[in-house]
Amino acid sequence: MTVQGLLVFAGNFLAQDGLLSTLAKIGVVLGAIIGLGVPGMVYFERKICAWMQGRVGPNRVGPFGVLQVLADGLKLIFKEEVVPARAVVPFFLLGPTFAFLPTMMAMAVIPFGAFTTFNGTPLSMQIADLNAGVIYLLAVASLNVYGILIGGWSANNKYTLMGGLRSSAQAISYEIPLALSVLSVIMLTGSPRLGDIVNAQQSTWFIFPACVGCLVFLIAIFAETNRLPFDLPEGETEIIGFHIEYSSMKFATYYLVEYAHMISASALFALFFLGGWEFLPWFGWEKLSAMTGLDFRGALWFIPSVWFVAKISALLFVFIWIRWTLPRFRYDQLMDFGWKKLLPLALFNLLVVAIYILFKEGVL
Amino acid sequence: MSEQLMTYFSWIVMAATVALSFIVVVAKWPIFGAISLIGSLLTAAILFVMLSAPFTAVTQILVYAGGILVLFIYILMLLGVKRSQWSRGQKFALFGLFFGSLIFTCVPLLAVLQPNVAASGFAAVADDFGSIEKFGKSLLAGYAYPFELMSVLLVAVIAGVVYLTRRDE
Amino acid sequence: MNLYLVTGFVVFLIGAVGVLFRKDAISLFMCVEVMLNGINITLVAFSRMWGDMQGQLAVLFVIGVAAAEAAIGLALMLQIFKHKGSIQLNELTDLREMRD
Repeated sequence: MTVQGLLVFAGNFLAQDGLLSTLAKIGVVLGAIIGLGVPGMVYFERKICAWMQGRVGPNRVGPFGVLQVLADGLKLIFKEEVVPARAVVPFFLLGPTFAFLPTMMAMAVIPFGAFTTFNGTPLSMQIADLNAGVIYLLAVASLNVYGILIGGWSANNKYTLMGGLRSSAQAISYEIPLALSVLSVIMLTGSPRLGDIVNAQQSTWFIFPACVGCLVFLIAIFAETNRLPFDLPEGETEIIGFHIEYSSMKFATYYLVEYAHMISASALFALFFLGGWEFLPWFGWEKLSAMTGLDFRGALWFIPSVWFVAKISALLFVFIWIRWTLPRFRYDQLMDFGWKKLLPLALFNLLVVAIYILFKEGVL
Repeated sequence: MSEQLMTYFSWIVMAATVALSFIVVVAKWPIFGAISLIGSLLTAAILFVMLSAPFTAVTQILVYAGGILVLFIYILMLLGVKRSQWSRGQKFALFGLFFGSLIFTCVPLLAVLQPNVAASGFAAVADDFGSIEKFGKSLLAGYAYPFELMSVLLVAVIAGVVYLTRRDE
Repeated sequence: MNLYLVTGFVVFLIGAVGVLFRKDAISLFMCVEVMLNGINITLVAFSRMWGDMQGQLAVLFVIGVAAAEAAIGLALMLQIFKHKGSIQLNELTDLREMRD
């Protein structure tokens, strides 16, 4: 975590606050994601999938089964750690770290609310307010590949090597439609700064002009986080994935990283297309303040943040819903879909957004 | 206090860049070298951020560390490159060449630059010096032609790679 | 400030020495990338020193051309490996003159 803190500090060259407050913010965000977000996701995934399948789900360990996640975690800790013979031990041990770091680095630029004042001092709800925030997000998304690749290769197993190559090919193939749909959002905003993107959605959420781009982004983040229907890297029942040689806590780390990646991807979707922490599509907090007189920048500063977290939760429900509804893509179908169908669709989206911008400025 | 901290931090990052580049050259297994090269590029990106070039830093991570080196690691994993051994004579020659050229170039350079140390500090630049807006304006104002040529180059490279790696059926 | 230039130079030097001494083609290629990394550091340092944006634009073009060169070079190496079975530079001697 200190390495990540230093990396984030180096990235924050505007240095609005001091070192200690930045480290404290990092601690809060990481603690919330790993301590609350991921266990909550695991629990709700099992409960919701049980509901969709007509069963009850875990309800024995603790009231309504909430301690089931704790029990699973303890089970994983107590399992035996097996390192394969003739595996490349440094990389085998570092594989989960390579997967963990970029996912957490992406959380550094996500704003969890508007820039507010708290007891008189300005409080930025972002760890690092980068000028090129969106491009930083694309950069760390492209670093996610290494966790899978190194993990699959280092186990000295031909099947995991092939699984690692296959799933990293999926990851890099779907980065391009992801970047193109994000590019349309930057076009609509005029700036790659994440705070500006949310502020530009005060008049209208970007899901309306960039509807095709929104769909492309949603499909691309399903592929990037290795969730069904792009579940082939994990395989589970039909093909060998990259993580079968990992046991106990290293496997738990990959599992945790997948859920944390889902949380950050949902946060990005909410920021780019659902207006971030804005209240309703054409009715922001400012209008609500003017109408009701409540001060959403001062006393009630946490309400937009809670609203943002509610949007993230709704998107995570969509993630779980689609996982337990759709079947899995085969590998050639997956690559075909990414390159031949999603990429032209993303380019078409750029055209539509460009026409919309010209229309809005009165040129057309 | 913060200036001092940043100076020490920059020394650490510079040392890390040099050390990781050294590992790339001397590593016995090429994949160790590739991972060290990724680390070296990331520390170089940190140096770029400290030199007021944030857009260059994220471009380096996005393209270089996230694209080119993924390609390198694919090829290394597919070809299964074996260990390479250094013979004793080669090791002596390596260190001799390295330190000799370091001494013979750095010492005269520093001797020449030393009188101008005060003048070789940072120029005073605007706050948004390396920011993406200024970068885009400079690029498309004066360098639009090389920019378009580079896109032609990349298309030619894609065509070349597709041709080179086709199956002979 | 000199230290940034020294870092760039030292990294370039390490890469150059590596290019001279490595025996397999891919490690050679990686040492070329190390050299380009050193060049990038030097370019950005000078750009900051003189307050001129052109250094950073040059870095963008260097990164782009390095990407193109890496793609073609690695595709060529795949083909060489397929035809000859190894990429050790000692064994790639088809174009050598006949020793009489």
